[in-house]
Amino acid sequence: MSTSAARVLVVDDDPDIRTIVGLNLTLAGMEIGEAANGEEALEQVAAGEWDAVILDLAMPQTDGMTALRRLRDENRLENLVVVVLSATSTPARAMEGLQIGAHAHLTKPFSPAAVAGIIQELIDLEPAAREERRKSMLERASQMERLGMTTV
Amino acid sequence: MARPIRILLLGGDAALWVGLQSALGSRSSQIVVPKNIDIGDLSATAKNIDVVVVVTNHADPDPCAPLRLVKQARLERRTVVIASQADQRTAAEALGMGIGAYVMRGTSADRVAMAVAQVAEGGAFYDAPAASVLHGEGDAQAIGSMMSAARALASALELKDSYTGGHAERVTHMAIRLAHAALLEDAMPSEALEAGFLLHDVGKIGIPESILNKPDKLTDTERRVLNTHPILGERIVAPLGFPESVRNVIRHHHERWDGDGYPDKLRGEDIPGAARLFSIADSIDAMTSIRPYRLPVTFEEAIREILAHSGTQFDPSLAELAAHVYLDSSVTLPI
Repeated sequence: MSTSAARVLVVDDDPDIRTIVGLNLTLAGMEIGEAANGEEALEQVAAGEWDAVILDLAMPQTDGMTALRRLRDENRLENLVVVVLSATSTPARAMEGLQIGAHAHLTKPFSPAAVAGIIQELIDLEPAAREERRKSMLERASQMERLGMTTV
Repeated sequence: MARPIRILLLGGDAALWVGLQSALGSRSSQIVVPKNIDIGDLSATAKNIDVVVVVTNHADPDPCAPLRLVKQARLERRTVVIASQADQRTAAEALGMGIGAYVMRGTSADRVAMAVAQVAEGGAFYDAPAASVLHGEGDAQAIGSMMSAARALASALELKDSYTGGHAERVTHMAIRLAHAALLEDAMPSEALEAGFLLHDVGKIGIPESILNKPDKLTDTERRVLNTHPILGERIVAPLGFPESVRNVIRHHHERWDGDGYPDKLRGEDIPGAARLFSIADSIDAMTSIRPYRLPVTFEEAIREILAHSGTQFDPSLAELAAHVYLDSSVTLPI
């Protein structure tokens, strides 16, 4: 757990979302970077030290899911917290991201003020506990899928 | 037998008079057809007629001129407008003026007679297509539920923001009055526009209460977070299918004439008309209402302040119009 300000990369093709999320994280004392697509996100992640990435799934060029897969497979950044943003709230969509290494799935619209709390909580967890949490989230989503629920 | 309805007919042709007379039957004992009527004649005749029927012609350079005469003579509630379907501006302007009834040209004489009878008894009558012309989309029922949704959202915000009690209702009332006077093409008075006014600050639902209700001065970051409320608001209403005029008010009500506003730093007439006129009403209400950190100013002082910032913060022509609308009127000021 670091005592310095958390560094968070906000990745969304919509500048409004980047502004709103970015400002709310700044308000919580975090340092912010922005990227407008998956490719930019991968470049920035490779170039700097980040504690967390907030990743929109639906983006032109390299989408969020592709970027996430590459973050985990190629960059081997197991310690990076990843929260995905999606307009789709189905358990199947949530499972997709959790399976390839996202720690949380936020459905739009979300409370911008709550994002900072979610990120900080995940950053503060030990890597093993964070991994446990990801697995239980995945288990929960798959249970919901089996029960035929449409919203996680 | 019902009392005969005294009708004043402005415009239209012989076929319409005959059709109307036969549809109303014995109820239309008097139909007056004046030539070149002016406001004096109309006011003088007003007490002797029950209903004015205005037939507008969209090929006229100013098809709404007879409607304004009717409005000046305060006969708008007792007026039936017959307009061609293609003439959307007339539809919007007529309904915006509070015209009692609106029917499409080509409508059967029976239907026109029904509208006349309804208006004569103090009711209103709108052809469904007129409602959709006015509100951008949907039928009367959809408009009703849109307004219900708008009121529900507006009251959700009132629960959260302790400074703004009654602000949304007051400012909506004021802004609609200005819209009636301005008659801007993209800000015709309508229920949809009213919904936009009512919901202007709905994005504050997404702003932390620690910022909304902070008694001290906001830090720079807090200020910037607060200033995201127009963007959040537009997103909150996005799934409700509100027309563009509504979304424009919500997103752009903090833009400034000189381009120094937010969120998009629009300048001058790039700012949608509805947002330009709303920001004037919004500022007046902010100044004249009670806030914990300062005493309210009088209405006259608030108007002076608006005029002092005309051309920088506010659209100069709308600022001047606001001074007339809010100060020269004999109607009680909405505060």
